[in-house]
Amino acid sequence: MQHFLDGLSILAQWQNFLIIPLGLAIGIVVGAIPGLTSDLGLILCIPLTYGMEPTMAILMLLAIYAGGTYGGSITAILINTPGTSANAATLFDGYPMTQKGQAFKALQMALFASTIGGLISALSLLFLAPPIARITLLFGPAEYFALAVFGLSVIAGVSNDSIFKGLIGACIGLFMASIGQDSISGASRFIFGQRKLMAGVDLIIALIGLFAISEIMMKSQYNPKTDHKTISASAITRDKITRSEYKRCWKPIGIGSLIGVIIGATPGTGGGLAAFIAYNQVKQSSKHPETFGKGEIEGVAASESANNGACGSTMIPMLTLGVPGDGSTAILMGAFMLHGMVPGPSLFAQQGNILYAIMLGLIVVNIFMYILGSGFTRFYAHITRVPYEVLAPIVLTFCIAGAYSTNNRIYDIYIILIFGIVAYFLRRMDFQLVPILLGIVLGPLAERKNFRRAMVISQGDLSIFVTRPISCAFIVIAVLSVVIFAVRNARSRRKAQENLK
Amino acid sequence: MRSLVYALFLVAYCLIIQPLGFLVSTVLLVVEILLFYGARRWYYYAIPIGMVGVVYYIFRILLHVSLP
Repeated sequence: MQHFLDGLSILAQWQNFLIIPLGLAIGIVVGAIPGLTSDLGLILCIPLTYGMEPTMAILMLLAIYAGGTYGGSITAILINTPGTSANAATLFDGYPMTQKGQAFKALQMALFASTIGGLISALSLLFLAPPIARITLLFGPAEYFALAVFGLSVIAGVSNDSIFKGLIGACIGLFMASIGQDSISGASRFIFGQRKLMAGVDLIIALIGLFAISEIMMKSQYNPKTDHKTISASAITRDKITRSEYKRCWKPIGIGSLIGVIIGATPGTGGGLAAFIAYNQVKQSSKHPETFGKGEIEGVAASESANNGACGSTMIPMLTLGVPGDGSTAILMGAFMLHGMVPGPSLFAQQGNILYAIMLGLIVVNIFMYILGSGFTRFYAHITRVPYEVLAPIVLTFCIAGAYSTNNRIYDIYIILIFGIVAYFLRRMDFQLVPILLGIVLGPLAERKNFRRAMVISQGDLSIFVTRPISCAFIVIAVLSVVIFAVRNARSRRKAQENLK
Repeated sequence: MRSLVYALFLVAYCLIIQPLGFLVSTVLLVVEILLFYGARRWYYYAIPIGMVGVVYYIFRILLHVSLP
């Protein structure tokens, strides 16, 4: 309770109420532009937060995250291209509504559903995270290491078509995290004679390279003449949602938010999956499933409430266990660490006041999102007109400046460009970036902080990981999940081959 | 194939940033990319080049980082 009140007073500083709308505006625009995802917005803005207080910095990033998840629906509705992957399910009914001339209505419903989903998610974070943190306070280094292994293997399995590619990705991430001087023994690892690599690769540098630069390179196939879709501002008429429409959307929004919260809290999932599940659930339980896919407002409500419903709850495993559920939360976790907060149960005990400020702030973020969104709905058509060829060099400029400002050295610019080129070719070979990212984020936590400490406690005896019950359970689940994913992969591949014959 | 050209731009950038500095080399990179996409209109060039200057001064004045 003390933390709660302290958090409230930290949140009440006026600067926070300036930074939240700013973050939301950035998030909505970045989310709405196809080719710029909210992950990218987060990465590019982290260098801007270096000078800020932790609460302010994290609130700004959360605003970008929430705004981006909502903003992606704008282009999904207007030009049939989701701004971020979380909004893919909004296409089904959003774009048909635009074709029927109901673009304004669809945008309004997307905003309304996003806000409600986001609020429910923020509340679930506020009420569920502290009790879970109290349980995880019992964990020691061995349990943490096992948990990190569990998180890596599950996410490697979920995010790729092939579990082996996922595991290879996770290992690439772990490798990148191990570059530099080892803090316990002082040995230099993988520095290839380059003294500048002694300090290791900064998390933010790796992120800019892996995500931002490779994303720009992915778009090298883009052809401005054929791929650029726009919509004129006159397509957004002012047809308000009627009261009866609001009334029948309550059920889809409720189902969507709930599914969003549950899926979001499961590691290895994320808003996109939540939206698809919610959409199907609402469609099946509807009395008129035949109208879905033809411009049904309930479809927009379901998918948008679900992806924003996942926004807050993905932070539950991240904050309490230190296991991020998807790409965005892994980036947020990196931001927490940059600001001196290492997610995990001890964070609630040590910096509970800041955490409460952040969790309460997420509620404020969602309220501001509604205000800001409803003011700007009319101007959204202009966002679709921004040409990508102009954006690409601007994003690149930000990447370079952000990388340089991290340590004030040119060497980091080389690292992002080289990481970017490598990551691009990995992506062309169907490697997902999320396992790599997770390897980088969890690597130091798993190895330096916990594996080594557990080894010290057990005096070098590896059996500590299997003799402690909780640790053993996590490792068993990790091994089982790898086996299950591998079997499922093999089965689906066999099925695909049979279909070919 | 197009992506290799892109990769070449980035490697070239690595080589020129040390001698030429942030402003000149980034403007060159921006122009390369715009030509690569075949941008025609003059303001397509003006906006990103202007942004290079804006970013330079944001980092210099607000964040006290002087880019090379």
